[in-house]
Amino acid sequence: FWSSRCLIGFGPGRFRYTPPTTTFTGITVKPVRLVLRLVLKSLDECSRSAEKKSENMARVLVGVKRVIDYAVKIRVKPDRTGVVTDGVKHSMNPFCEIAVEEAVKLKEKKIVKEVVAVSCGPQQVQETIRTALAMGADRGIHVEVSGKEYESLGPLQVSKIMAALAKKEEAKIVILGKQAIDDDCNQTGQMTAALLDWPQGTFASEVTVDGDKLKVVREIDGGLETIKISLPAVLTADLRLNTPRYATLPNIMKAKKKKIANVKPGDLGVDLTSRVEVLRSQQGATGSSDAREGAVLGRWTNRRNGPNWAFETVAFLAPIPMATGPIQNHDPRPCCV
Amino acid sequence: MALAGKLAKVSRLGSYIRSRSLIFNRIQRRGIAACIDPSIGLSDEQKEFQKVAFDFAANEMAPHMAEWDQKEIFPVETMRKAAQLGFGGIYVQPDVGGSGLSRLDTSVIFEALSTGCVSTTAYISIHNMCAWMIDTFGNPEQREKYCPELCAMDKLASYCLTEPGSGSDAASLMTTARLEGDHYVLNGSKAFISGGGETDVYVVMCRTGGQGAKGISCLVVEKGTLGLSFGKKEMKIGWNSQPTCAVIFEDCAVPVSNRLGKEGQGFNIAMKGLNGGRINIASCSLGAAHASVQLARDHLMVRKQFGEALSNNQFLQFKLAEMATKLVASRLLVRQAAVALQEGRPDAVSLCSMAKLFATDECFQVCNQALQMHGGYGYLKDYAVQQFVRDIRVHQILEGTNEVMRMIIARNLLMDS
Repeated sequence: FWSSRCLIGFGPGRFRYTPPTTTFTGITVKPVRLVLRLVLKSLDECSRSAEKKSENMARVLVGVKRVIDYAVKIRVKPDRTGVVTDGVKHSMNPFCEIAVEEAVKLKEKKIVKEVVAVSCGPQQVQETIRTALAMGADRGIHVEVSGKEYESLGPLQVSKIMAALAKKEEAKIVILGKQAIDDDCNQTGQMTAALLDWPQGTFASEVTVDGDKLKVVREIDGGLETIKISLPAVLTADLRLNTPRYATLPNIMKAKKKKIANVKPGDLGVDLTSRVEVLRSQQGATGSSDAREGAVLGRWTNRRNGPNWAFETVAFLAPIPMATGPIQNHDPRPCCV
Repeated sequence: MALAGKLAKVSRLGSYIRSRSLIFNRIQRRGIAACIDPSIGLSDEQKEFQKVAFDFAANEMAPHMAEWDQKEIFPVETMRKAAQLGFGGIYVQPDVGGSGLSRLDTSVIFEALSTGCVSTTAYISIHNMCAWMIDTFGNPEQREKYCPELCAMDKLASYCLTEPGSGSDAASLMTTARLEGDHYVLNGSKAFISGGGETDVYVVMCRTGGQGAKGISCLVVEKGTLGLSFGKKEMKIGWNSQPTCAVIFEDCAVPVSNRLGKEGQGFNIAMKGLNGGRINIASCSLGAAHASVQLARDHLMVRKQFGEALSNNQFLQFKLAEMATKLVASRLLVRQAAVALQEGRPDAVSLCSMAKLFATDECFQVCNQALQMHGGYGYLKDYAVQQFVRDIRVHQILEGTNEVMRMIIARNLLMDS
């Protein structure tokens, strides 16, 4: 009965006059038609504004870093200028994997239209970008930095590059991993936000879209902090944000066809000179009580000649573990190149 | 991916440094061992496939392999997860749900998966073989009916050739299939069927014609068909994560539409399936050997006797070098055989036999040596190396015993004389 009345209201016969008749509930039909028309109009507006929203939230920029694989035993170079990277297995920084996963999840929820994976470095970082493409990113940007410039590439330079790319690609969200496992800097996200003058949601363990703002739950020392930041924004992914998916075989094959654009830092107008000079790297003392594996200790020093300040980097590296019990869960993956 | 998964189990007090140090108690760190790296010589895409397989093996299979072995659990859920990544029909055509990859990609993937659990990977390879047989030799209806579900591992498959009375002499099988109207009526039994009792689709070789190989046809029998029953689950020393039992046919009626290929083509189909199956089994051996070499190496660096680490002992260094050499040599032969099979070269069959013979024998020696290097600890079930030894021992027996492999190679060599 109701549906037949509705059909009269919106079908081809909608201009046919029908006298207002009372339904069994006592409500006349004309106001019902009016209400339905209003409901449809508001639904229409909602979908239009959702389209506008999706036009606004068009692009996500995700930064990925190629680092030495976490399971590899790090060796310091004999001349103590750094760690051995030649012939060592590299992979994507785990926090960057979480960042890519979050971006792909946003795309699947239809909050963003495109995920762009960015990496800075020599030719080899294209493998890392391909991994991001296999996880669901749409296209990649490889910022070519090699040789001496790559060795001195730090968070400040990378954040300048990310800021320039975010402006160029008109990204609305920039998602980075909270820190890289080789230098543990935890600076790139924050610096990028500062350079762009965008709000930042760092150490994010949960990100939800709230209208045209982002609600970010941050993991801080005291517990969890929830903030609301407006778009555009920079997010850095913490551990519990999500569990990165495995790339499926079909996705890996599709990733081969996705494009990776090559860009030079000069094209973006970025100056890559480093203000940090690594003085020395050394192995941490074995069996020291303060065995902070992977931690980096630094000290500011004053120098008369050269830059105004120098950061003495002394990297503490993991001592050789002693087997104390049964070797239960062997990690069978090869960590060699 | 692996790191994130493992780190997620750590408490929320969340200093990254602290969480990393907790992980190091559970993960062994490996140094730079470039010579046995399985990704040497692979294309970028194959390295990606290998990476996914290694991550899957490390996260989803390795933590459970001891439990699956001890409790004899058939890990269907884990295999379904693998199928979601595309591992259910790796060399099956994409139009019926497979991944459409080459034999070399398949070998690389199974080698990587096998480092997590040999027995489960070996079953996945058998399942892949059956799916490929239906894909290649089935008519369009059969492909549409079975392959999509097999590739997603919604249904699991078993390969039934061996009988109590015919193992190496496969052409003398005695399961008969009598044609009655539009049905074949099967009578007989099959022995040592991997997955028997728990799988849904059985690819059965049976006798429809006269004696010898020309009288054998291939039928697809579904679980639940009247007359199909199973024997008791066998108790094995390895491969415990897959059930093995006899499959018994007592006037089991199977529609003629379930026949793969023509009557009399069954033996041919079976042997073609086995060529790929042999490469897969050899790849599983490679994975186990690789994991064993790494375990042995780590143990040598850590265990101290006579005042120094075992890795300073020259005999053990030489033994380790020999193990690494055998591993790399086997790997090269298996990959060559995979390429030959993919290209359909005339020497493919002999090369597959050589690869299976060499790789399974050598890799078993490698795993055995690795167990020896562990000393007393190698004999304990707490250590993974003993499971690798037990699991790959059977690779020298099934899919054609290594003696039959020698027969095939000799036949090829003596053909011209």
